[in-house]
Order: sequence, then structure tokens, then C-alpha cells
Amino acid sequence: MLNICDLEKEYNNKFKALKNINLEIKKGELTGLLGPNGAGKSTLLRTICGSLPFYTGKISINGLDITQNPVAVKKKIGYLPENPPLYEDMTVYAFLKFCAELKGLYKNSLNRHISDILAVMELTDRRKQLIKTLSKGLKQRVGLAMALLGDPELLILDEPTVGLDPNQIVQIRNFIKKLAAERTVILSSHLLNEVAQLCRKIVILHKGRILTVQNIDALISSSEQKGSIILKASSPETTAYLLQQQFSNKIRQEDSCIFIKTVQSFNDIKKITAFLNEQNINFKEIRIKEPTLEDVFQDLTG
Amino acid sequence: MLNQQITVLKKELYTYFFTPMAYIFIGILLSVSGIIFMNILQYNASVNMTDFFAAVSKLIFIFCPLLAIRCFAEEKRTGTIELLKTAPLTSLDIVIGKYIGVLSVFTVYVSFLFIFPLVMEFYTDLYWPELLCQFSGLYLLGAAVIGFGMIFSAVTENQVIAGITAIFFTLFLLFLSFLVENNSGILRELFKELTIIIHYNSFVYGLLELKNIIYFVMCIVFSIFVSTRLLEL
Repeated sequence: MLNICDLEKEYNNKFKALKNINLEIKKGELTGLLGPNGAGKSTLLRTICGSLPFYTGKISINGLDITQNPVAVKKKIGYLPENPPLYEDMTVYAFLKFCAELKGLYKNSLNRHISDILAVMELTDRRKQLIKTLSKGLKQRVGLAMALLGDPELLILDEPTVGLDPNQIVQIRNFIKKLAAERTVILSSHLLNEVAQLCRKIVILHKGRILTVQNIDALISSSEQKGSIILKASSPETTAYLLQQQFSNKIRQEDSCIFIKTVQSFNDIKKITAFLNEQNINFKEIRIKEPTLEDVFQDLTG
Repeated sequence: MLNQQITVLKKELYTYFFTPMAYIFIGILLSVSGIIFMNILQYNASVNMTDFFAAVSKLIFIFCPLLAIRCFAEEKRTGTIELLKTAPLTSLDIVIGKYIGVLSVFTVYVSFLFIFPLVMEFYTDLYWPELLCQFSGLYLLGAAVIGFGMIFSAVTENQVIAGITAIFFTLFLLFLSFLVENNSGILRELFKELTIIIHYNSFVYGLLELKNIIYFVMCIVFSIFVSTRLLEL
């Protein structure tokens, strides 16, 4: 479906925003693109969509090179940027009609297509409303509707839930799940739990490079990061200090809890317990916390 | 890609004519043009449209860049440029659609200007071939200045900066005529060929010359080309 080979993108011949990106996304996959702020997620997505020219490397969709066939490739992509590009003075319907015409849909098929999409996005009763009068969540839905026009094979969503309230986030996630059942989707986000909930495959981008492309479960199980030991001690500051002196593990303290990063959880928990007993340090609880996507992400990008 | 250009044009017309923008622009320009026309009638013994077209050209240098700067600066500021750049159309389609949109507003203004000679026709005989030549000159001048304004609009997202630089540029083109007067030889000829107002004045005096038409068409093509390249950056 999407093939990216040796992609590099420089801004003003100085800052390299993307370095040696190689990525393949198969048809029907819902892929999460993760990375800290400034990792190059939006740059990568905008380059795929043809919004950022002058890069080196090759991007192709279904074998069509975007530099050689930009118009044909853009017809296959539905893109929702981080801030939905909406003409606020237009009504929802007029805006979608304009976008549909830009995508080459005309007359007979157009009205029905827009009506279908409005129904999918539950916006039918808002069709005559001015966009500037809509809430942020509804505007996001209009943005999603815009991306769906022309029935694109590849849907690219850049931070689709940013700035929304919890109810709107759940609603948008449900829409994404529904849409992903029928097409290939790339979802960019810095919200790890969102990606973990929606995607099976993830791409982690850091400082313009792809660190890993894997199935989430495989990534967590194959990671060097085997989780943490959580220790609740009566004097956490002293205990954390003594543990830091004794062990080379990464130790972090939050209130009464001490988090000890570990590779061999069972061996380490035995050693730590023995050490605490030896030092006569009282502790209320010691347990192993299984690694999460957040742990792996921090480990890779921290 | 004509369909996409028409789509962009329709959107532009919607923006101009479903908001007060076009009406304010046309209203101000027509009011000032009317004042100029009345003054010329008042202080001249004979009916002289040459003075009128010479005076109105100064308005074009100030108002037309202001009309054009909205084209891309506004889209960049609101982020909607992303929608156009990721849609299946070329940068040239976007530029042409937007250019014709601005030109349409200017066309409405020029059409209303015909009221002045039509009113005069009741009192005196006008030489219409000369008048049509003058109107053609004004239209081409406006079309060229709008093109220059569009270039500055494609450079920045700040409409104030785009507007000021566009007006400075068009006024610079206007004042190039001083360089013609203060130079001699090849340099004088070069400045003469480059100065927009000299080409326009030929139309004002009723001279319809191919080289002047080509000059304005070249200006329009140049500004569309540069705007397209800037949009692709």
C-alpha cells in the first residue's frame, strides 16, 4: 500500500527533520505513529500527503510515485492535519461540497456521497450550520468527514483527539475504529494509551529517525525493558538513596513509591528484599509491574 | 484540471461576495473614482477622460495589492493552505483559481466605471474606441498589479507585511518613471520598457499598441509563475 524508501527531509538546508526513513504499510493496517514532540511525525505525514516537497527518497502508494503522479496519489489519500483546515465562514455542507469538488467529485455522485459521509460522522443535522459555530469536537468530525471524501484508500490522521474533552475523545476514537475497518489508516499521536487502544502496529519516531516498527505486543515482549519493581517504603528518600548506591538500576521516587527499572525482575526482587532486610529498612509492599507501551516508549526515546 | 480551477474560483467568489469584502473594496474605489470624475468635470472646460484614467491609475496601485494580499496570506494564517496543498490539484490550479477570483472583483469595479462615460453620453458625444482603449489599459494595469500583490501574498502569512511590501513594490514600479527622466542612453530605454506607467499611459492617450499589451500579459504570466513556485516551497 504505502512504501517509503530512504526518505530524508531538510528544512532550509540546515535542520534535518527526517533521516533515512524506510517504511512499508500494508493494505488494511491501522498503524500508530508515535514520537515525542518534534520527532518529525507531522513532517513525515505532510511529506506523504504531498504538502511538503523537496525531499530525497521515494514515496509511493500502490506503486505510484508521489513526485511523478502527485494528483493521482493525492486522490488516494484522505488527510486530517493536527488543526483541521476548515473555512469557518462556510456551512458544513458547503465546505464538504467544496472539498469533494477539489477531489474531482461532481454532480450526481457528489450529493449522495456527502450525505453518506455526514451520516457516518453523525453530522446530518449540522449540515446547514456555519463551521465557526461548531464545538471543537464537531469541527474535528467535520475534519474527519473532509478526509473521508472521495473514499480514500489511505487515511492519515495527525493527532485527531488533541484538545478534545474526554467524551469527544471517546467519540472520535470510535469513529476511527469504524473507519479503520474498511481502509488503511495511519494515526499519529503522542498519547500512548490512545495508540495502544486503537492500533496493533506501531512506528516509533525519534529525532527524525524510525526507532522501531512492530506489533505492540511483540514490541513490549521483545523489549529490553522488562518492567519495574515498585517498592513502598516508610522512609522513601533514604531507601531510594541507599538502593541507588547499591544497585546500578534506574531508580525514581514518587511520594512513598520507589520505581526500580529492572531487566530480570525475579532475581532483582530477591536481591532488593535481601538488601532491605540486611539494612533493617521497613517496607510495606514490593511487587513487579509488567512493562507497558509507556515504559518501552520512555526507554526508547528517553 | 479546469474543473478544479473553477472550484477554487467558486470558493473565492463565495468568500468575496458572501462577505462584505468585495462590496467594501468596490464601494471605496467607486466613491473615490466618482470624486475624481466630479473634480475633472468641475475644473475642465471640456470633457476629458484622459485625465480621469490617469488619476484613477494611482488608486489601482494602492487598492489592488490590498485586494490581492488576502489570497494566500489568509490561507496560510488559518492553515487552510494545507487543505489546498494536499488536495489532488496542482499549485498552478490554485494560483489561477485565486487570481481569477480577485480579478472578478476588479472586473465588477471596472464595469461600474462605465457608468461615468454613459452619463456623459447624454450631454456630449464621446469617442468610444478611445474610451474602450482606456478601459482596456486600466483593466490590464489592474490585472498586472493584482498579480504582483499575489506574489507578496504567497511570501508571508502576515497580511499587513504582505500589504505594505506589495504597495511599496507597486509604487516603486510607478516611480521608475523618474529614472527614465534622469537617465540617458541604453539605461533610459531599459527603464522606459520596464516602467509600468509608461505602458499604461499609451492606453490612456488612446494608443492601442501590441507591445504594451504584451508587456501587461508578461507581467501577469510572470506573477502567476512566481506565485506558483512560491506556493510549492
